Amino acid sequence: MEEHDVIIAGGGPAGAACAKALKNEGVDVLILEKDKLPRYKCCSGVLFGQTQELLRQYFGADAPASVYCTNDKIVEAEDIREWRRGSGYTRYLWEIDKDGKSFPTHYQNIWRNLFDKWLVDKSGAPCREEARVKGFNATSDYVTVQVDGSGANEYRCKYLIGADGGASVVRRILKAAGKDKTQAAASVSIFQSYFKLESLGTLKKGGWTVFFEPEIGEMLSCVHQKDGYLLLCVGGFKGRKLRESVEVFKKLLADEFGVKLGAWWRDEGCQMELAPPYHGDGRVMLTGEAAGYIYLNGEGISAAIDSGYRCGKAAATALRNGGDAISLFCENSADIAKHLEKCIAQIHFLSV
Amino acid sequence: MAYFITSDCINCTECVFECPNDAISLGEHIHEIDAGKCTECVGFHKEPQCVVVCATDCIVHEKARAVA
Repeated sequence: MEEHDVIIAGGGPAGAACAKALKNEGVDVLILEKDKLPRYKCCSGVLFGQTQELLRQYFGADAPASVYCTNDKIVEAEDIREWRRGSGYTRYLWEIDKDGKSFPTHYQNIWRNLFDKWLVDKSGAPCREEARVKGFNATSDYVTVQVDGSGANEYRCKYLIGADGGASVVRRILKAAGKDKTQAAASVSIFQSYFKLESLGTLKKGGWTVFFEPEIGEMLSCVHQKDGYLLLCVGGFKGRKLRESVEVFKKLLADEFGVKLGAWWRDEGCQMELAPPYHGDGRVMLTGEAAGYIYLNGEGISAAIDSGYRCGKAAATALRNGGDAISLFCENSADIAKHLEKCIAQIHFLSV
Repeated sequence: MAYFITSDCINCTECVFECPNDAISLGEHIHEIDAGKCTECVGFHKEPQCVVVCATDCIVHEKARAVA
């Protein structure tokens, strides 16, 4: 059976940052990614100021031009606005100061498929694609991991780290085993569609507009440009027919702003649980969105990179010096937990 | 008999992870249930697990297919 010190489930930003921290410490790590990279993701694809700083701090690099949208590279913070019928525009926030520190306000508009692939490559860790973690057995000394996909179907490691996002299989298994006793405060479904852009009408070029219209969905809806496309995102509670929500949203954009859309290109959906943080059990750790790390109004990339890196540091320290990796992770990420609480206190996310 | 996914599916993939029979996968546009593998979770769960997690309540029994 193939053995590694650490196996990371998930090749997104949390997994890549975690792998980077482990590689820096000389730890033998393997990433298992369920899809083939590059792969699209249900995400607006904007790197906020904190994300940009974390990339420099942990990866020593800025996101390269090759992962940017070609035409609409930057979204300015002041151009992210909430629109209300009758009262017009006000500023809308997806990022706030952390530990008294503010961040750059020129946000980078990127393609998640290209960005995630770049970040995994940049971690320097090997990544096996199309390998979905489907189960594990943990003892006090090691973890065996079962994997779907062609090739090896069982691995052994000292730590398994679930960086597998909002739909985390690793967290699901911990929950089913009665280890994770947290209760989600709310669960929303998110759906986004890309349409060829024919005319922005009166929407601001390069802007990002947020709506709180209950007839579209219980969650905010928003729209911004991605090269020649307009990306419409809607969300709601369980049972909401989100494909119908997109149609209602399209009508609002046409009626109120004169937006003209061309052919549909692609769509993506996901569910997001607003659950309290949970870091795992014994030799099975969780990080990123799988651990419940989501910042203001659903911004997940900076929380993923920062928590992923700290999680990797904690596992590396435990491997080198002994001790409980999860306790080390909780200690070294106390500022992230504090920022999460601040974000929850300022949340402005639902339209009902 | 089996369950069936309507065109309201948003491909969130939650049902894929929950299905105890590995009966659900992405079809041409949306997810599909392999009727040969679906057991309706009878004998294991009180309700079909895909129906429990579905974001848009778009998984219905085949009997409802005609009206879906």
